[in-house]
Amino acid sequence: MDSEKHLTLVESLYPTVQRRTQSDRPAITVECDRLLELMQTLRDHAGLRFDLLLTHTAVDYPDENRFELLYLLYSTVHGTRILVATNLERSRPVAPSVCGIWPIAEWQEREAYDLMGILYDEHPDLRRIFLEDDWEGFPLRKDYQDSYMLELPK
Amino acid sequence: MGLVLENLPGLVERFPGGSVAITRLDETINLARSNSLWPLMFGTKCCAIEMLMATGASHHDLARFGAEVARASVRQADLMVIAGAIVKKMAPRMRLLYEQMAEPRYVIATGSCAISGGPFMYNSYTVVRGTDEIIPVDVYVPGCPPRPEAFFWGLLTLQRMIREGETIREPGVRRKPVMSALPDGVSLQEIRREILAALVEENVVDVAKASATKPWARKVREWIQKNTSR
Amino acid sequence: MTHPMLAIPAALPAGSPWGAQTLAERASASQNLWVTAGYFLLAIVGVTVLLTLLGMVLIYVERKVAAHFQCRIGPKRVGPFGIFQTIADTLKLLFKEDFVPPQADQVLHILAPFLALLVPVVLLALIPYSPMTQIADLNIGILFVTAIGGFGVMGILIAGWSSNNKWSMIGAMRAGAQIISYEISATLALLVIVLFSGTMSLSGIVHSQSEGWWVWRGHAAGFTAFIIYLIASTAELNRTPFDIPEGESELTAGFHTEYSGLRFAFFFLAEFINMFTVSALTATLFLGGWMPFHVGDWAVLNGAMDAIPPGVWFLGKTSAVIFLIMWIRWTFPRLRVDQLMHLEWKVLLPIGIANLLIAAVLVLTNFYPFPH
Repeated sequence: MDSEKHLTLVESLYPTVQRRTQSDRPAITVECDRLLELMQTLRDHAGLRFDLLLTHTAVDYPDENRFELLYLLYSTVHGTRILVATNLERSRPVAPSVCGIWPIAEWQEREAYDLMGILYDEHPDLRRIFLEDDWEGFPLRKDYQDSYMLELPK
Repeated sequence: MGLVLENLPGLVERFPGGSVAITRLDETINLARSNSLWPLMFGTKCCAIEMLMATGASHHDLARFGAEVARASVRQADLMVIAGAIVKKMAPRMRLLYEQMAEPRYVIATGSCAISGGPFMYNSYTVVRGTDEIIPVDVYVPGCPPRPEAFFWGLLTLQRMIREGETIREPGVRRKPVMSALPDGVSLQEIRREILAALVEENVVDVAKASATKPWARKVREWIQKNTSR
Repeated sequence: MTHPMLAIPAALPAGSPWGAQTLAERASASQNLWVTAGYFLLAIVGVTVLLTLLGMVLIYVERKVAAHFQCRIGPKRVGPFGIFQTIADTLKLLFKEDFVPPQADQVLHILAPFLALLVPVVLLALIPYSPMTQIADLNIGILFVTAIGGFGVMGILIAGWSSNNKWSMIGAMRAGAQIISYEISATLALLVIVLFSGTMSLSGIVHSQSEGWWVWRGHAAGFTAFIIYLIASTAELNRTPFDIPEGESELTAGFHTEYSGLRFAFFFLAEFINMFTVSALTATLFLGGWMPFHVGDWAVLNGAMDAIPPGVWFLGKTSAVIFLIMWIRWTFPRLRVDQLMHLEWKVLLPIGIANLLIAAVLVLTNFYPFPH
């Protein structure tokens, strides 16, 4: 089953998803409310079977006032990939956790929390993973500045 | 063992000709030390692939200089080759490792991350701006990563430093600073001026302007004009 | 009057051109106290000189052999062809800072390297280097070798324990398990040779090989014993592929993590002298010791082989075995600790026991002509 069929199938099940046109792999965007449902279907539906979460990251768009969460999924059964994206409000970045679907997401979501400050509902152990436990701030946000960083000489 | 060696120079010096003997002994021991530097396996980033692994492999052979036995234990190594950036989390551990090394111990900082923080000097929140903020460094080898030949140059400079500057009475203290030889006609002031000028122009990336004075640029421009159609 | 324990073994062929007279024998045979003391001194000096020379040569050879197996050159700047590299290393280690970890057991920490060095040095005194050159020839030679060889694990365990470092402890425990396991296989292989030659004294075993070395004269049983002994000895030496105890990428330096300077040099030296001792034993027991290579009745060849002095034969055979051990080290990857144990208890031990039974059957039925 190739990726085109996957996308058509997903679109038929969830009509509100949008395809991303500027992507080099099959990619869809979904609203945050339907994220968990969509992920469950992606893993369990016989025609889809995306059973491996390859990676999960977050991107910061301060101008558009949003965080974008990206989930890259792989199907070991069909051998195809899909990218699922969802947008969060930058002032209140709360997302549902997919740890119940792919347990590997536990550490990946900890990384997103540590560096971007995205909070996850029902995450078993949401704490910092790279930085020290008493670090303040989320360094990979575009507006992060602390006294240790130098400015570019102008 | 240590007791004997600490009191040995004082004892020998009392005899006539003792100071000559001590000097000869110094020279022999420094020669032995410089030719048998055992590096510690301490690579954190990309420089480790170049400095520790590639120079230890067959093509560029680190064993030629006696530095083959790369021990993993800190107590047995005497050369710490810092290959890679040091982050804040690593810094106290690196300090601990340095202090656990047995005297005399030497440090070579390779790569721009270890010298000054490298490309992460401006906007990084964790990379330590140069390892000499944490441990004393003997030789700096610039590059990103330095070629193995550059690393050998640094190693040979360190060997020369050991041979010329150390003494058995105070191991690890370098008396005479040793400079790596500069090419003829170049002085430190000139290099400094060039670097400052480059830093000032750094934000303006105009390759055509920067390379206009270089002889190779003319040939490249001619080749481009001849071989591409606009 | 020679002590009965030091008697010349009965397996000496009559009319043999090589009479065996060990230093201990000469010492006890002489009446003059000064001469006896002189022989003792000669033995001590001889072993010390041998130790030092061996250490320097072997470490240099290991570096060069390793380098050439890896298509590189190895040390080449310290002296012509880098032959003074070991001297540079030794001088450097000598003048390094010397300390004992603060919470460690001081006495044991200082004692351990000497214990590790003890085993191979004692065994150096037993080996027949040539018919006239052997320091002591016990008629229970093999038993003594096995007993003292088993003591080697003490140095390692004490080093690991006294360092007050959990990684050293893990390395020492692994080394202990490994060494006592592989001793069994090594002993079984040695017993095969004892069965074939009928005597436990080392020079008697060498004399019994005058018609052919055991590695081929013992046919399948002898060759199998040779292979088993080589593998088991490599494991006893803690050399790759069995160097889990000093597994560098896993346990920093294993049991000798906390040693620096001269004491580390002792461990280093002990490993190489042990390698020499094991190779010399292999050469003595399986490859004929100082016996030249004779082919049946081919008088011309036998004469030419006899012309080479027996000391040179011994040295050549030992060097060949040392080269083989180094070759194995730089070819194979390291075995995991469970694979190591599996190899010993499930593979080598059954083969060793079966081999011993076959050898016993061969000797009892006189299938191949063995002396006695």
